Amino acid sequence: MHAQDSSTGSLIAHTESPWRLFWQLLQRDRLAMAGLGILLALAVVALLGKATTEWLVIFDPTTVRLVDKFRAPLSEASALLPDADRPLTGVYLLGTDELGRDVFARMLQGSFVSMSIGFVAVGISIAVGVVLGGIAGYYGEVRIGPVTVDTLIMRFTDAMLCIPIFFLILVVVALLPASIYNIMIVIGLTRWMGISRFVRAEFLSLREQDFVLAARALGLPAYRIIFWHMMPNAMAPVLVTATIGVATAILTESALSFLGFGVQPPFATWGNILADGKNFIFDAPWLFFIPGFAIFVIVLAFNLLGEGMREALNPKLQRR
Amino acid sequence: MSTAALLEVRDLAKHFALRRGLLGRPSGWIKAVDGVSFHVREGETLALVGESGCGKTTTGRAVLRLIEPSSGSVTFDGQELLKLNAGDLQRMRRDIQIVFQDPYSSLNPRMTVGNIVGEALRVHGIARGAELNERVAHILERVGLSPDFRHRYAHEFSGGQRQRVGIARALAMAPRFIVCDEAVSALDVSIQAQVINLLKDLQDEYRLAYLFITHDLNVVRHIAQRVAVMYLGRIVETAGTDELFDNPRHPYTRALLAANPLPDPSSPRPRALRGDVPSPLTPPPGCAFHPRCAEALAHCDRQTPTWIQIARRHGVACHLHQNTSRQGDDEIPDG
Repeated sequence: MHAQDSSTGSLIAHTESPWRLFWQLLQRDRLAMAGLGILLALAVVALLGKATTEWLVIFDPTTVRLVDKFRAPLSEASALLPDADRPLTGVYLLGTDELGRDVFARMLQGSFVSMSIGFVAVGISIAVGVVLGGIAGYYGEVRIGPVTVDTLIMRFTDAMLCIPIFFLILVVVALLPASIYNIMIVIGLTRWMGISRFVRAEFLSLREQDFVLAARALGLPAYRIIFWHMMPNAMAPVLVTATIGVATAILTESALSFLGFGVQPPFATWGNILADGKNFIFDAPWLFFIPGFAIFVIVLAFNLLGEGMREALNPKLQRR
Repeated sequence: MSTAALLEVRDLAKHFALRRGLLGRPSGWIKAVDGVSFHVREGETLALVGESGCGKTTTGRAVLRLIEPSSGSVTFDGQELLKLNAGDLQRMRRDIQIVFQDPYSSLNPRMTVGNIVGEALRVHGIARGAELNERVAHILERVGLSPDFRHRYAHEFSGGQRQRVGIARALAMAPRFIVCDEAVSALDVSIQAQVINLLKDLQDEYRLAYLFITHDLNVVRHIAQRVAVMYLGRIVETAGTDELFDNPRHPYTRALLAANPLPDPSSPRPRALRGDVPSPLTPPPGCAFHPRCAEALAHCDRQTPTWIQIARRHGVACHLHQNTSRQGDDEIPDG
């Protein structure tokens, strides 16, 4: 008598996990899929760039060719050039800069540097933000002296938000050697506040949800409740912010490089190619527009994907 | 039915601090539960009824220590739950489970049904591998779900099916006592009946004891042997189910029963209770019910009524019965 609503029919093995549902919704968003496509293509380019400029040097970004300064894109290499210094096909695909370096090779090298800075910096900020936000949300009521853990962490977060981040980065970068790793760490350690804030907010609301109470009633240990029950349900907005955060980190690195505080030569990043190019904007506009356009495209792609993910995760759009 | 109480709750209280200031000093207290005592025997169902906001749910959660009670005592099978350390409490939790009201928020949306039901068995090392699968399949079957459902996610099911998953999760640890917190209130009436029958079958099969929290008196009549009526954080009347329905003594209980819709259009329109439940932040002095009570006496707004045993299994906290009763037993609010 009690088996009526348990529908003994429809025993199809097909099942819809929340991630699969998310993926299906995301696929309907053409702009987001375009962004994803561009990013995948750029990721391939970045990996190939790393391989062909450093491991198996097909495109050498460091060769100086004083006879071939300021060559426009698609122009042929000079006949005076020694064979060892010739570009791969004898053509400068994206022209050369003021030292006759191949811009195509430099862009290839820079793509890996720029993207890895974006991803590592965001990885650091997610790690810091999730840990601090999670502690504040789950153990918030524990007291240390007169203040709660929650107060301590969130007021620190507020303090960090009050500091103009870009100037903080400038100060730190001016004091530390400007290596790629320092820049990754500095950008990562100054961008976690938003993440910690909404991880905390998610945890506060999840902590009172019945399924979390049920997990506690089952006597599950705290780490299991946090990592199996709460974290997966709090990660969706973190992913969205992270996606857009990669774009912001790449922009920040470009801005730092533009001001001369970023990754130092001979390492090429899109930012410092752009910075060098600005001096020759009228004589050799490609030096300026090529890296600028690349930054524009990658930031746009990350933003389109991030927006699409936000939409796909919106519970009002998801059918039950 | 055995005579020894499986669960014994005495003077349980939960006071929530209101808006802590800078130095953590509360500006007021909400006495959600204020000195509640009851017991539940093995294989028995005690219904806890009352209006929204009277502290039923808080009582249920405080018994499980999902909310830490402010004071009182909860003994389960002779063990004082409120004094257990974290490790012992986790062991004890196998015996005491809870089924929630909302079948949507009570299941983790990112876990399959099999994981939801089997997780505790695996984490506590009770079963693993093929044995775990078998036990999960058996439990799902027992609550009327196909074992094939265990690879599916909760959002693929109807409300009634989800509630069965919630019951299966509670059953997995083979508990002896289950708090059903409005467990059928969110379901359609036809599904309600199925789930109630399921709960009764499970009770017979495993000798389960239920604390059945509800506001629906029609449900109470079907499932409970005894009823405790709560008003503003206190129990005002307890009696056997039939006794309570036939011979309610507290004016609040009478009003509740009168307001209960009966499937008979010719019955007289119920008398509505006057006013709203007062704020538990500033409960009325004396008997908390006196501002709404049609039969209030002169001293009802000054003296808090004491507990009076009217009959062996019928107790009430009301000044109207102060003189008509046998000697009151202040301690045990039922026989």
